[in-house]
Amino acid sequence: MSEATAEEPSSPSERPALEGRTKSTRANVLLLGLAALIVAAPLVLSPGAQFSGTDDAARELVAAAHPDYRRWATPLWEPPGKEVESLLFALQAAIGAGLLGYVIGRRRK
Amino acid sequence: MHIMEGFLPAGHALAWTVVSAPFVVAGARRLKRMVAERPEARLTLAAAAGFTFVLSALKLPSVTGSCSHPTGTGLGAIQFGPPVMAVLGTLVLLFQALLLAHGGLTTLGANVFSMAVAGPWVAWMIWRLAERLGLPSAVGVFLAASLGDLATYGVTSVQLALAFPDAAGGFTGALVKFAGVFALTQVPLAVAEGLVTVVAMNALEERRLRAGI
Repeated sequence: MSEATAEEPSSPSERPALEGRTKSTRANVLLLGLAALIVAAPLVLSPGAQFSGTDDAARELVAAAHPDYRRWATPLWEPPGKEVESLLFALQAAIGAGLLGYVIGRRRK
Repeated sequence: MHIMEGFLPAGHALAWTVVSAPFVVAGARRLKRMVAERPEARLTLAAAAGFTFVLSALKLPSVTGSCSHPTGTGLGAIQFGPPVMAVLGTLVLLFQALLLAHGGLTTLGANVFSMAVAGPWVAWMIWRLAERLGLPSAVGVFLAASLGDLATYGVTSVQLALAFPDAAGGFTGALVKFAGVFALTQVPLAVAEGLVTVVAMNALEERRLRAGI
């Protein structure tokens, strides 16, 4: 936010650029809001749903149609429990968001 | 789109590994050359890697009552071309296979092909097509990212249907079933991914203008 004050238009010629920026900020907020709505809507629209993963659903399909299929490899390591798994997923997201935010927020190349 | 460890017959697992490997090798070469020629691209590259890391970590609810995740590979495919995403996508899939027991090493080749090869290539082709048709850049980015995301899940469905054809309906019957699980769930999530990719693209573009590079 401090950026906005630091970049007040110093001359009239810079004003259109700033207006362009507020316009794009508005568009970005709108787009993110729409994406959030799309993701949140199922929680309201399908209240009884379990929201289990599609990867598991596919595995169940295979198991149902081909009960004789023997899984021939298992993961080298599995997170011990749901909590550790969600920790590692959060870590993955944090690494990604950190990188992305760092680059976007950096002022110089 | 993660086919779990051990859930492809050995022949299929090997075949997909053979198919994917050249894409990853070519991508690594391209990446090396690009960083050598344009060191300033490293930051944008890090942003593209970050984007696919964060998006593929988010398991989102869909109208079908299941959860699935976006892929985040469209952004990098548009900016750097699909070969580079073969490498970045493989890194994400390795992280998930080794630390999250999501996907696996035997199914890595198949998963790399769907998420890190097919998705980025489709995204890139749609982007180029949109450009040629003279569509606004934001529309092109949206279509590319959404359809690339959907393509990844379409390919996963094909991979599973090839490995596990239906007793009655054969390949097509199985494809309908797997696509029913993956592709339908993915439709709203692909739309959301398209929207978020447009925002990320805007932010990176603004950064580029600001930094004057």
